[in-house]
Amino acid sequence: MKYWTLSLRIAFALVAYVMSFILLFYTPVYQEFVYMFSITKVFIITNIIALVIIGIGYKRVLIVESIVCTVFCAPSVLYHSKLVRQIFDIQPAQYLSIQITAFMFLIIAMFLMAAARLERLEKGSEEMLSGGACEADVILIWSNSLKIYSAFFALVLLLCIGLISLGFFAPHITASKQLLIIMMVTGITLIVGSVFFLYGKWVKKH
Amino acid sequence: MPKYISEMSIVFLLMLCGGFLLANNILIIVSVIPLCLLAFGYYLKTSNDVIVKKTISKSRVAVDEGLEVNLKIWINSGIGPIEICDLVPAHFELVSGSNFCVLWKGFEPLEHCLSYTIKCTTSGTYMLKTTLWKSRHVVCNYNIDGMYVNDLSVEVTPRLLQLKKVRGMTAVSSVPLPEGALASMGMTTQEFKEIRQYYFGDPFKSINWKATSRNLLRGNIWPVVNEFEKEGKKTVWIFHDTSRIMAFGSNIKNVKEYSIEAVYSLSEFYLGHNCSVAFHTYGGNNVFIKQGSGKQQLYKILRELMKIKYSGPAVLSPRVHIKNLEESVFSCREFFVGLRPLFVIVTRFCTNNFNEILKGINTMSKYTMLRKGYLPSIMVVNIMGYGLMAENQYEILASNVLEAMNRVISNDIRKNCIWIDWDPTKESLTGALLKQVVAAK
Repeated sequence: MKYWTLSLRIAFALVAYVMSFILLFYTPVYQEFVYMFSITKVFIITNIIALVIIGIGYKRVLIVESIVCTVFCAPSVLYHSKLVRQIFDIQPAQYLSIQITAFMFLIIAMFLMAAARLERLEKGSEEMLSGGACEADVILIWSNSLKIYSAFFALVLLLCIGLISLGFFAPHITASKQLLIIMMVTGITLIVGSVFFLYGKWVKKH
Repeated sequence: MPKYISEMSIVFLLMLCGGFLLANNILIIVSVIPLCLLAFGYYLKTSNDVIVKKTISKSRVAVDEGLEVNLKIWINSGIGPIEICDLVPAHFELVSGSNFCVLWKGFEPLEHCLSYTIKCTTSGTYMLKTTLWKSRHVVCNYNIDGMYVNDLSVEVTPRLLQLKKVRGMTAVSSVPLPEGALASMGMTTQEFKEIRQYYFGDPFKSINWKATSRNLLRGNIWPVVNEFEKEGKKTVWIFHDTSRIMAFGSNIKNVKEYSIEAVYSLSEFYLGHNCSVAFHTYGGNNVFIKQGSGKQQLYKILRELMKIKYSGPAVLSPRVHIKNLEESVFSCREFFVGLRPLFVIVTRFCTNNFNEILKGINTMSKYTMLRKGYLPSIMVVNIMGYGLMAENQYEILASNVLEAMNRVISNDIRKNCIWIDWDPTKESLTGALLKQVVAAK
């Protein structure tokens, strides 16, 4: 159980790293460096720096990798901000579209979360086994937890894909300015309201 | 858990605010993840509402006797893994089964049985009431700890070390008995005590006519009778050292525990031989049980012994004067009048209590028979504790050296009493007593 959990964690972390690097690759910052040096040199230097940083924090490798991935993703995600585009006056044509970037960023986040979850499950299983628990019970807990967590991931993924689709179709909707403002305010109110509702319930419960 | 809620809420709000401030749709979309975690955390409840019904096979067990504990666990609500641990007091040892289990609670209520056997290594009263549980959330990263309390306790009595009379070529009796058997009640012996005034009910044959006639000349017309000593129960006084010196050894195997076992076994032996036994502690607690006989007296001693386990000198108020052996013997002197009791001291001899034991024995010698050529009726049971802490060969060697040194130091005391060295790691108390008698012969 432990070995294939470790393999899965490594695979998730590696995919997240590769995807975040792809996101970085299609950013003006990286392209500037490519223009200044050569593509191979920049590729090697960037990866070496990232791997050295990950190596330094090898004891908490997943956290360090999450930071590295966030740094890699940041230019690509921020590039799709209207504010940033206006400030730096960047041409959007030659880079990844917002939908692909959003999807990739979402997948990266979810893979990193899944790796962290696997790590926690592994630690929990070890704790239980060292405490004297039956191995069959631990495996049952482990598999059931994974099933529920997969269901959670699927739900979140579907929700986010729905939102990305909405983001894709929304600009094509022709509506009056007032209606757009009303829609925006309603959306913000709904989201923030749901957060405060949940927070309030939590605090009340405990 | 509130920390987890705050963290998720902060992450969500930061992403959302960042998304709106920078007009970034990606950040707004991804902010759904912490929101979903919050929602799942709230609506998908952890396993809780745990009810535990605990039963034990016996409410009183002897040291090293197995005790079966059965738990019936009901989990009525929530979903996810739950760890259940039935707390076992420090001095207990798990013999079979497990007091820990992990369970997966699905959507249906769960019922589970847990049973295990434990044995206690030291005497006392222990509470077996707490069952701890830890429930992990199936999606979010937090746990809920809880406990269920049952009202259960178990009384662990000291082990009774069977002391046997050994009859053989070299030894007749391994355990010394008191020499004196004088008391105010019981059958009349041939030993003259005094002349006293006649009381109604006295047999006529006991009237001392010569003395009565002499008294008549002095004007006293009331007859006088000869009073003889009465045969009563032989008396044993057990002095138990409860000072810090006795707290030597590990949590499970320590001198105090063995001393309790020795006192209990000696009490049982002497009471079984129709003796009257008194019990006194010194150096820590000031427990005193007046001399008595029968099973009731044994139970009284046992009850006090179990209390001694938990009340060391440290818990005593500084105002309470801690009596040493000599003071303890002196304070009981009125009980020794007319008796020649056997004194038993249960202690652990070391250089620190050399003077205390010597003075105590000297004081005891005043109250017990001291015939020329015979040892006084004082028995010292010295529990050799260094071996209890020895784990490897070098430590065993060191403990042997220390014991040998103690033997040399205690030579002066050994001359004045029956000295019994008992190493609980090597031999039984009977063995130690027998060895001593054989050596003396």
